[in-house]
Amino acid sequence: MIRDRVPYSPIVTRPPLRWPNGARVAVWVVPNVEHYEYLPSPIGPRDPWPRMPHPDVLGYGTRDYGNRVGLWRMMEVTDRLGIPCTVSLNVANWEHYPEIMAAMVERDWDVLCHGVYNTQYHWGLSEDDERAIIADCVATYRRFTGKQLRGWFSPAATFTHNTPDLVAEAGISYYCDWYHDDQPTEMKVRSGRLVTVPYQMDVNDAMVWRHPFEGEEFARMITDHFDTLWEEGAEHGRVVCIALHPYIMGHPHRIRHLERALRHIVERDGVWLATGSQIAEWYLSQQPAGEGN
Amino acid sequence: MPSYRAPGMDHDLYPFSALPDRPPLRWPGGARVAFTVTLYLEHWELDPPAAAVRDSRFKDPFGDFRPDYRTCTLREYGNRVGIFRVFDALDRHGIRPTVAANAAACERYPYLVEECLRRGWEFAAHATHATRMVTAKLDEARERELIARSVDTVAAATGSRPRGWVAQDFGETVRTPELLAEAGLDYVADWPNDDQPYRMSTDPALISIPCQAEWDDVQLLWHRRVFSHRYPALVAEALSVLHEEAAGSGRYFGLGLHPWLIGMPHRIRYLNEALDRIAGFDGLWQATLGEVAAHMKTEGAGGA
Repeated sequence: MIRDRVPYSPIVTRPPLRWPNGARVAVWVVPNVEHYEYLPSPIGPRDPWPRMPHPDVLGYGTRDYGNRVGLWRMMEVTDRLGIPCTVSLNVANWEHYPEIMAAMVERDWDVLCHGVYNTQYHWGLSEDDERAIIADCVATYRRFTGKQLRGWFSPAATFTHNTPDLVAEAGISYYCDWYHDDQPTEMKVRSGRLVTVPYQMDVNDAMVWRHPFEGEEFARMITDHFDTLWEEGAEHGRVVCIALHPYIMGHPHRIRHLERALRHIVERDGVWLATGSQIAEWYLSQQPAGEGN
Repeated sequence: MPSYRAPGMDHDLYPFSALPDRPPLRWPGGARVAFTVTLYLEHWELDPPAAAVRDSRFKDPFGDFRPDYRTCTLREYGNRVGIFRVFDALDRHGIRPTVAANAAACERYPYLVEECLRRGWEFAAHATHATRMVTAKLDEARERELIARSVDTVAAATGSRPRGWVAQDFGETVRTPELLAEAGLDYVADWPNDDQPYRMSTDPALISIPCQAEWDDVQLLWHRRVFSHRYPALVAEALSVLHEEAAGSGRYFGLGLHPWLIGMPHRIRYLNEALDRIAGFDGLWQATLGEVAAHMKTEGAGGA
């Protein structure tokens, strides 16, 4: 099934991938800016708040912190370091919080769509239902910005076998549910072109937070991840993705660790600080159609 | 209920407020950070009623079996032994905590209530039992009754009516803030969504004092199993950043302490070390939850 979408291709046998200006790595920083519903409905295969009968103000309030406080603290860091972020966005977040939309539009952040709500999961959706939700996201984003949505990362990392075809059909050009490579790869889809851009479910503060790791360990993961890819990037250009959640790394006891790790990256040479759209666009421009694997 | 996918929250409990957009928050005496300690005085039942709901994360590693001697007796250890280590640590640092007391704990541990009163500490209502969370399974009448019993029992045991509410395990229903306001309470300390207190939309307005669950001892050291020896540096780092940010607008910093956990012999030194570090910060207003709420009621800021 994987190979129906992406033929096997060992990274060492490919022609070298070059980034603009000879950079070794394309770095994209991806804060997930979300809304988790107070009373999610309906409840599908996964209960968003399994701790107790709903509401769960601990679960809800923990996420709400990201929008009220954590995001703004994290933005001070990315502003100070001059990092162009790509926001993984539940589109409902902008509908609920025009203040957040304004701050991101002002910074010209790229948008990687992360569904509508992070408590509405896509597992088991019929093709028509999933198509309708993707169309809704595209229309909502166009209503807000006048632009075509470029990227897709399924909400809460929940998806179907149809997802790549449906997002390509909706005019979306890059996709982040697959973690099979350090470089973009082109994906076989029913219509159009779709390129995967390496996102991270490992170098991701949400994964760390579920375990006894804290800001310091996560910062170490970021710099170790970056250092290896930067070394390797001398030969084959790589993608470095740093996946963040303002409700986690935006806390006061973690923010300086994040800033230190990101500073390590921006102060290195050979780094292309990019957005998801820029990485996808550059990759496609380097590949003749149909030969991108 | 507000409509979905429209500006504002997806509930009516409080309005959205981005912290940097608020007017500056000023604390008494020009303090930068209001610092509180919540000390939990709880009773864990060996045989809770069949309908009782508890936080699903507290269970035997091999399943949920009854009787649960293990959890119940460790909580009892907290009230027999651990709490005296916590008392010592707080006394040594001159800290006035707010005691969040289950009604059943007030009745079962008069000795501990007296020890807290003797020190002049303030009490908050904290539901009835550690084994009976307030959840959506409670109907309105029973929740109202549970709140009244919690408040009245603390009032009877301490001689003064508590001014606020600290939920058992952050357990609320959609009606809780409204019922707390109706009961005449000033504040609720259940929501982990801010670094400043803010007004809720109840009438009269309850003050929501954030519970900062990320460094609550149980959330951090028990559920997430972060090593206890890291506690002092983690909480000091949180305070350090909040203190720095407070140059423009006051911040809030609270510690939650459970005697059964932080009072263990292998952890107590880290509480002492954390309090030592905290004592090194200037510009702290070491307040009770009731004092913070009273200040917020007169303060124009606070995010609402």
